[in-house]
Amino acid sequence: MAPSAKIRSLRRSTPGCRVIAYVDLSARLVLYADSDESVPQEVLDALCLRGTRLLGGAVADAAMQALAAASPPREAILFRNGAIEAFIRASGGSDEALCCVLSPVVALDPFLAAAGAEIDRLAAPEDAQAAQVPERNP
Amino acid sequence: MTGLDRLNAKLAKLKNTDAADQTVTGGTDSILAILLSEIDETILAREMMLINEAGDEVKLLVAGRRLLRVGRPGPRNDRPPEEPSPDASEDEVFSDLIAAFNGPVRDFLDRASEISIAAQRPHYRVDPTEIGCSADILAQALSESAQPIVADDPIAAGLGAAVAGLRLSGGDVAETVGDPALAERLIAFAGSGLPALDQVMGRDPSQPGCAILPAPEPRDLLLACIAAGEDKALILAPGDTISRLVSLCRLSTA
Repeated sequence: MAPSAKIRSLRRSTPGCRVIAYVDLSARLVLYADSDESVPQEVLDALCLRGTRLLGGAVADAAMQALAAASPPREAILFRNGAIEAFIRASGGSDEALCCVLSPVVALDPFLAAAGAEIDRLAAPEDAQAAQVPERNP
Repeated sequence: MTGLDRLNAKLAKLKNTDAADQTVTGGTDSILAILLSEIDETILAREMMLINEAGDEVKLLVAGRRLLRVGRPGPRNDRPPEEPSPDASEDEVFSDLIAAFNGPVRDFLDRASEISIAAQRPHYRVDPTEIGCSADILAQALSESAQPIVADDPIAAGLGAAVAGLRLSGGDVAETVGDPALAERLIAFAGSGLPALDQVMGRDPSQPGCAILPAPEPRDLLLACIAAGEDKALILAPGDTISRLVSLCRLSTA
């Protein structure tokens, strides 16, 4: 399944999930975004920037120290403007992340688990993804 | 696929169909979350029927993004005398709806091994002035019942959940609570990370705001910042308090 279809599927399987942006944190770049309604690029860029700051910038570095963790936080949750924003970075040091805007009523735990699994699949090298596809019988 | 089809497909996934006659509680919260989302998206009046494997059903009347009634559809004035009158106050109606949603509806979902949902336009007129409960109010009530935490003072509530915390007032440390060594880490964070976190939270001081950063796996600790007015709580809390803090943030930023 194409990454865009995977992201669309994740968003549509979560009622109340308004926007999912697939971003590259180091480039501060929105690679793809899915939403029911058109979202201005400036809004997506600002969402990506918040994700970058929380998961990759000064906040992440200071949080890693405060948490005495070996790596920066992989997830961040922000409550702003009557919505929840969830930021989930791929594991293994990848710069790819999902930046999501959710209705306040969304159950966060299952969503974070699903989004974490999805961003790991999206960020996996192509050869690793190919290895996950079952071989066809000759 | 219609919204209802999607919801039914979701419900089918959430319930364990092999667990007949078994109380299933694991999926109930997720189903309730889906119901809340459906309520939040319903503008025109409709009756939603939750149906279990035996064909028993619970009816909800929803309109204007509000839950109006549980289990007693029909014209507004056609009701038993012991039920709240149409002139009942907003608080009385909220209290009844929350009790019904968190009681009979939750029990029904817990006991069911299969759940489907159907919806129809009501055959009677729904009074547009009838008081109902928004999904936000219901979500808050569900959170409160599951995790009793007060939001009158979100700063104090946040500090109460912490293993270490700072109350910051106008940028100065006004109070330190909990483990001194952990509090030292928070003081360091306040110097190096908080200015950037403030930028990200970017809030109007009149509006509360929250940020939660769980530690990477095994998520044994989390860092949270809860802001209200000019004050902030900067806390370190056990990883398993994340649900309580999310509830607190929902309540204080609703």
